[in-house]
Amino acid sequence: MKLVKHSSAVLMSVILILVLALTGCSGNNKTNDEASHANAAKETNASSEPAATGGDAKKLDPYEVVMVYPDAPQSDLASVQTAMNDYLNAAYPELSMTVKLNPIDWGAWGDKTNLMMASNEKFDLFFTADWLGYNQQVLKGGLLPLDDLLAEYGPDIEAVEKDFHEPAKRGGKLYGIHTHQELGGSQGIYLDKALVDKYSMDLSALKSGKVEDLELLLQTIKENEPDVTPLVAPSFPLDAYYTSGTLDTIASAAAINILDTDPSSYDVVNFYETPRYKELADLMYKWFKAGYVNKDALTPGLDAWKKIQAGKGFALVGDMEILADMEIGSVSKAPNASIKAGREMIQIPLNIDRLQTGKMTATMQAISKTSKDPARAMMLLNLFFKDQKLLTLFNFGVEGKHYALKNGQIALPEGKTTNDVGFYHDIMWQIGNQMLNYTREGEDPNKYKNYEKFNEMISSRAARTFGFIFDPEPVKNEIIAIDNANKAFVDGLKSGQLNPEENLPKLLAKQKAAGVDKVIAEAQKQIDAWRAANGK
Amino acid sequence: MKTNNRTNPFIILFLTVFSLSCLIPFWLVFMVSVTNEKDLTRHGYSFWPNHFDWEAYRYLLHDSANIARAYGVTITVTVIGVVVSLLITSAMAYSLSRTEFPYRNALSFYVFFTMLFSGGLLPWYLVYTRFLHVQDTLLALIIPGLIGGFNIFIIRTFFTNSIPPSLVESAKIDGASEYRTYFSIIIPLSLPVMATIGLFTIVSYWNDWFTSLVFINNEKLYSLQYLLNKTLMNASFLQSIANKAYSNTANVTQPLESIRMAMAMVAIGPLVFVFPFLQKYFIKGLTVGAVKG
Amino acid sequence: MPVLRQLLKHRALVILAIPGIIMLFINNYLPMFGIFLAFKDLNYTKGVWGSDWVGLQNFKFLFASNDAWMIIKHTILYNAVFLLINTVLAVLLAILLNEVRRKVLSKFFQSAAILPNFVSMVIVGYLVYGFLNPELGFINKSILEPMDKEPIAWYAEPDYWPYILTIVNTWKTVGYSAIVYLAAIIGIDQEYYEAARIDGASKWKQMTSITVPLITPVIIILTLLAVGRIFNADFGLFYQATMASGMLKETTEVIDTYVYNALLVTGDTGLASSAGLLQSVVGFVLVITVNYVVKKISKENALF
Repeated sequence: MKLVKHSSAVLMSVILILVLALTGCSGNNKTNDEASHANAAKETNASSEPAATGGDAKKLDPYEVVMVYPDAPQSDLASVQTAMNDYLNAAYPELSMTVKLNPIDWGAWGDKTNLMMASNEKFDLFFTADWLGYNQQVLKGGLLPLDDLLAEYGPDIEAVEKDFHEPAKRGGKLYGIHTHQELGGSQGIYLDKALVDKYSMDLSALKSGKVEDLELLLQTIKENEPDVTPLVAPSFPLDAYYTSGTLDTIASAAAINILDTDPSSYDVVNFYETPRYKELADLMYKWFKAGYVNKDALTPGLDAWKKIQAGKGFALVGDMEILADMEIGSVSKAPNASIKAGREMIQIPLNIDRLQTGKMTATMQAISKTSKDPARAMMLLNLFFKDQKLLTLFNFGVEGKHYALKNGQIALPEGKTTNDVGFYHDIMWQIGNQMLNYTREGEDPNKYKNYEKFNEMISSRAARTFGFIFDPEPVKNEIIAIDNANKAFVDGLKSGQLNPEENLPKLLAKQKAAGVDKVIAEAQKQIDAWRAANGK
Repeated sequence: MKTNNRTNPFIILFLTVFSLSCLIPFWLVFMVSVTNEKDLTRHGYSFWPNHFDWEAYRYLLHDSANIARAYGVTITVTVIGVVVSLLITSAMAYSLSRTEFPYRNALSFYVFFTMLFSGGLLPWYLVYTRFLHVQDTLLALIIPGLIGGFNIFIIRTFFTNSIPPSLVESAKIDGASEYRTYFSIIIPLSLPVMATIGLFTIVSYWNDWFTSLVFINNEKLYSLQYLLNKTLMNASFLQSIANKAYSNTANVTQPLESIRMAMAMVAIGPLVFVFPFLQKYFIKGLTVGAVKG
Repeated sequence: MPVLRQLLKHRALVILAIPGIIMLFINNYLPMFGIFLAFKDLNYTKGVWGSDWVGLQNFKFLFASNDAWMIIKHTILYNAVFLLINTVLAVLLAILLNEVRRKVLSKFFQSAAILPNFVSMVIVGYLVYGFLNPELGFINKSILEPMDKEPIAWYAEPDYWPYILTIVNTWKTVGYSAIVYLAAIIGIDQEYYEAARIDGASKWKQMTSITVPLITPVIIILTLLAVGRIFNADFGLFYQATMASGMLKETTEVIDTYVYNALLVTGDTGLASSAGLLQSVVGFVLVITVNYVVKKISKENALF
């Protein structure tokens, strides 16, 4: 009996020690953590205080606006945050506002933001986009409607974005504010200039805007340069070039064909059933057979630029840089592409976007439902649309420490590289008015002037469906099933590995079985209702 | 006692081939990690590169302070986790292995149920952050791996099958308590299985990156695998969204393939030495026969 | 109270089990309320409890595709084949490893066998790619090209993949299971073998009548536990090793990859909880059934 007691005492004490060790361990970590994040304490203070109502502008209670956005970690984040707060305090004392930067790794973004919203964590400004679950966030009640806040506290946002809110509305209310930047893009081809010169290629045929006219050039390379793949991809004509040039996409396989159709036509058709789709799939199949395209094009993460850099590629289909004179078929030097490829590259736009609903929801800022003072969050967001200094701090860091101004452009401080400067990111597209930003050294100093000009062109050509928002909920399961059917064919067709004669009918049959007709009918129904309501 | 000291040569041959098939990929990972990037683009992977290039390791060295700290986190978590886990798991398995223990079936079911059903990510997160408040502590990395039905059942099976009930009986007659029986008879007799489960637990703690992703915001507490993984995850995520968001401004550069492989080497490296160390518990002789004799 | 008295009588065993019971309760049972999410339309404002019930709405997407049965069939077949091959090879490997007398060799073989388990699936994906890359892969470049054969577009040809995935899975997991079996074999009382040798039993005879029967309980437990996961595919294997190539779907789509894609398309996390619950229920029913049969045959080998 004695023995029993003795050993049970031993066991209990072992367990006790372990428990103590573990809790002690956690206690230590907590204090360390708090010490290193001095702001955490501030945050709890701020949030426990009653929220200030933005209405009486006399003296606002101090409030900390937490900004959540995706970014790679920056080692000097704390000093940038301090600089932003010092600046806010000096320039806008009446707002008595501080910011807390809470970047989240790209790879963790989806999981973490879902958990933060679902567990009602407090944060204020939040980056979102249709491709990052904007619809679900609105549907699940994670975001605040912004219409009133915008009207009251967002004059500088309205000054540039007034006409572009419609696409972000859900159920008639606005939940996201588009970053002011280029309103669309352009697709075309990049060519290795050295090879173009070597064979004195004639590029004038490409003025047609048809990717088919690239064939002769590819053939020349194939015949004369056995080590060079004529066209390197993972980006194909059947991506944005097809979509933007042929369709107003709605959702899933539903789209409106705008190529050679009456401009007043709103007939919803299948994305994969247009004549142009077949043409391009045939073309790619032909090119693939002829050996014009690299065989590993579908490898995830494949970087086509690396192939060009290694001298193994000649042409590349993709999104164009926005330069001074964007015009279909115009040949110009592509500065960024030349850097990426390590050799001189030229670009030839083949298509220029129209103003599309989807683009307007591709980069937005929203305000979380858990914000204790949404008005202040909106005031801060407004500052990003008006205050170049604040924007520069956020985008480029502290002058002298993280960047130096050279001829009005942002350069790295003497002796620093992007790796060790402590604060370097390219996320200007996430917030505010981009046109207020500095350009980086090496970029066209007129970059944002070019953007303004480009925007004029784009906004003068609105898509037929601009402003229409498709509600996918009634056909959600069909959309999943169609996507599942697509997976087996779409990549093979766009890369030319599958014969369209044989596989396109198979794809269409599978889509039919998955309920594509129902999705198209639903899209037509919603389009018709939208037209009736908007007098289109 | 006649023991045959020569092993059948066919067995040796078979095992050699098998071992090579396990080792060659590692060789390949290492060789890719020291291959010049241009060669990789031009010629693909090779078992002996044309040009050796240690750039990938130099790149990682650049981040050596963080990597060293992450090693510290992972080692701490793994060591504490394995010791506590083995204690808790084997103690529970011992109770479950004793036929006279009432409700052992009900308790087995209690364990088994957790192997199939789980509440999912969100409730898990809520329990850890709202109830236990362990976010941003090492505990958040330790607790999830402390116990698992699989390990309990494996150990229980060993206890029931390799330890004759008579042994426990005779210990009892000698006046030994359950604790004493468990610590001084059962555990020493079960070293091979403890070593096995210990190894599995080490590997799962070592390779865990998801728990860091969910619960750790303080980068000083990132585990090694998360630190390495997130670079890859960030890159592949950015790649996948490049055409959705911003091809013009978001300059997406994939980490070099060699860096990917070098990261794998850095992450696996220390694990390779763990097993030979544990192998001394795989020695025959610590068996029932030896104890009885 | 008889219950209490019984527990009190075996209080030592109860105390030994308590830390485990508590840990399981915290880690697994507390979050179990999440199962309700499979039947709810989660709304962040209303919270987990306040969100609306939607019945089986979240399950519909699983059967929305006309490929649903193909996907389920793949999941079960792959798992069954993996289980069979893995068990046979792992037992064989363990027996062979146990035969090696030289310590150094034995250590070397054992270490090599578990190495593949340390590599993450992402890296495995790249290794497979090193072999199968259509332009530069070893198989196309170093084997088919010298033999004057047409290169194969591996990532576009679904027919090869059941074999490739089986090989990769076996390579990655067999050593791991073998170590468990080896631990069981080492635990076998040497007296059995002594007696058998005295009777003049051959090695083969020793293996079939001593080794295998004595490690059967371990085989049964590992198999039972694997049966519970027959509806759950190894996502890493089917997603990373195939480089997520859509053209291989015909032979490689499994439940977990289907659910993953559905999540990508809709962003609705409710879908994942319903799929997970369905997988658990199927596994649960299967294990209960198999366990019942095992219990009939030999009580001590059953799970509970």
